[in-house]
Amino acid sequence: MSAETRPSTTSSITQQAVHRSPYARVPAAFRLHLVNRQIIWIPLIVFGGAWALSLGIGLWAQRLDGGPGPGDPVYTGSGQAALWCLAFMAAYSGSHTFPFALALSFSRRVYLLGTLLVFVLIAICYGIVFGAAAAVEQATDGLGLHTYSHALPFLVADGIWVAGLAAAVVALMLMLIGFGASMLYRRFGVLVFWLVLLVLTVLIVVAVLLTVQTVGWDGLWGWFDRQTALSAAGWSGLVAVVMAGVDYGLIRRATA
Amino acid sequence: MDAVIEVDGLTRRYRSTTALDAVSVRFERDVIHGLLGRNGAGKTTLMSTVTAQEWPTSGEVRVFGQHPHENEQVLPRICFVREEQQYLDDARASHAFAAAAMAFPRWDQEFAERLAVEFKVPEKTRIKKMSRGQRSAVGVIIGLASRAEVTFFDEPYMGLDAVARQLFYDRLLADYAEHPRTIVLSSHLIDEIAHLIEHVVLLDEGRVVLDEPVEELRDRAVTLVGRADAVGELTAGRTVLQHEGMGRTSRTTVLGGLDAGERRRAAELDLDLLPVSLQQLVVHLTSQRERHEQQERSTS
Amino acid sequence: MDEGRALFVQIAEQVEASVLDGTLEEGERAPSTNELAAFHRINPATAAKGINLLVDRGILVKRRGLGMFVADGAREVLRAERRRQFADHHIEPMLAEAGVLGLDVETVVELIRARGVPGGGAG
Repeated sequence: MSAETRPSTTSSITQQAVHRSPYARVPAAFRLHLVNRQIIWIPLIVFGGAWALSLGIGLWAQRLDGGPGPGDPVYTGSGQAALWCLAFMAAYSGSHTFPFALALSFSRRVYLLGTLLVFVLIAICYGIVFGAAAAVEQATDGLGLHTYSHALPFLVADGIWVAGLAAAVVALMLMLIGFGASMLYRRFGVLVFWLVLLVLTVLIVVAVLLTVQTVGWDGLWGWFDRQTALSAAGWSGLVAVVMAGVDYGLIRRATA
Repeated sequence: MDAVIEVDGLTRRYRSTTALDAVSVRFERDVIHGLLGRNGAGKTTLMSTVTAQEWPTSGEVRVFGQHPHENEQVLPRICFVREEQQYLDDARASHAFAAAAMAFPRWDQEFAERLAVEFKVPEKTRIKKMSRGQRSAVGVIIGLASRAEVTFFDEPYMGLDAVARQLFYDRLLADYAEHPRTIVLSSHLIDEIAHLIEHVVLLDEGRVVLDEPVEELRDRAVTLVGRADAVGELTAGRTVLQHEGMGRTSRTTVLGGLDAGERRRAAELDLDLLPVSLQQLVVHLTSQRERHEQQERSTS
Repeated sequence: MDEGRALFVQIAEQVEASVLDGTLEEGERAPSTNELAAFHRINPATAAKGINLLVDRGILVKRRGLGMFVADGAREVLRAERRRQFADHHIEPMLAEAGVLGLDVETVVELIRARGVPGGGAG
């Protein structure tokens, strides 16, 4: 630095001419979520724990009077425990990484894209783990205990791959909903958060009632009955895409 | 001189309060600025808006000539660690630094690690469990090591003892000398930073009341001490910022400097002329405003 | 009656004092802006202003790429300057104080003689 002029500006000027890709920092935002890996190992623990628990329940159910006899298959829904855990973890990571992401000067778009990548990665992992678990259950007759938590008939009807796909897409959808909920809370506060939840519930009830009015309960159940694992994945995927848009709309004006 | 931050007519309203009221101010390239004002004066809101963490109700903000909001051309060149920054849950300081290293293109990891040792930031403690001072140190280190072309420090000294604060000032000056950049330092410890800053912006109730090079503030006010009648002669007709009397002696601080004639007269009258420190001037200017408004309220 | 001189003036005066008392020899490298800033814990721009003051007056000269050096003859320039200011800076306040205490000029001169000022053989 020369003594007669003020601090020279060369170093900062050479830097600023560089044009950056607006998405150059998406990988950095992605890795922000994985600095500590609880978003991966907590759902894994829940997944394993719920599975173990369901085996116990299966054993117990088979010994009940009037229950399925010994050797009859028992189906449980414990495979979805990890799903709710993922939704919660997504909400949690949204509320816990977002303020720091702002301090690191990430644009909200870049932060969201990084977050979406994390969710997609986790959804794929969940799909693989779920599919593998279903495959193991099929191969070992419910781990020798005739208890199925993943290889449910509806899911594996079109094969293990479809079951895994459906699990992955549903996981992604739920994570996006969880994340959106936390952004909704961040942006508008607790009152609006519950208000929106209330309005959504009312809307769903009204929609169901209107549907029932036109096609009747049978029509509605019939529609659900016709769905396959594949179409469930499709509908979930649709909701996931919508939620990704909603999440961006919310995060654009969210503050730390 | 070129401004890296241009703020024009910036107003930010929250439901019932106006945090910033038509603020227009510029921050020059490679200058250390002091952003001063009382709590609630709008300092943090101004910094948040410039860094696109918040947005204006009306008015305009430009950084490097562009709108900062959602602008990845601008944002990586800005660093603003809040006073009570929330970090990643369960993260240690090294995790925060690793994340910052990925986010800031000019990050100096070696510098960050050296600072962490100097500030005695514990390696194994989670940030959440750290003392207030240690957490402040983490924020200070991110601000320094980011080497961002525009770096904000929002009351970075909270919980830091005198030794750690001096360390911060020393490292800031040394690194700024080697890597000149625009720095905005918000602080209540005005005397401590008065010599570090080149330009001062003083906010009061969401408005800019002072926006000047520190050097020029010397002529903004003067304190006269001596015989009451002599002091009275020279201070008559001036805006009095502060006045104390003791017997026939009085000490009066008035706005504006003295010209050569007045200086000669002061010497004849055997008056002492004392410079008004930045801290004093800020106190005078902010509390004066309050008095003024109280008067307005009582008359209306 | 010191109005508290501007910081950059004080910085310049400190360097001047070093040149006057020989801490800084003529032709020697003077402290850089950054060294001054770090030592006095002040903004480098303020230190630069102080240095510029000395450059303008020919006390320091810049050697491209090497830094600032004390100019040849700088010490003599400063001494001449200080001699010119001696009466204003030192004698005037002394006489003012003497006036307050009721000492006349003769008494003051005698007091000075009695001190046996170094080099007082001349007087």
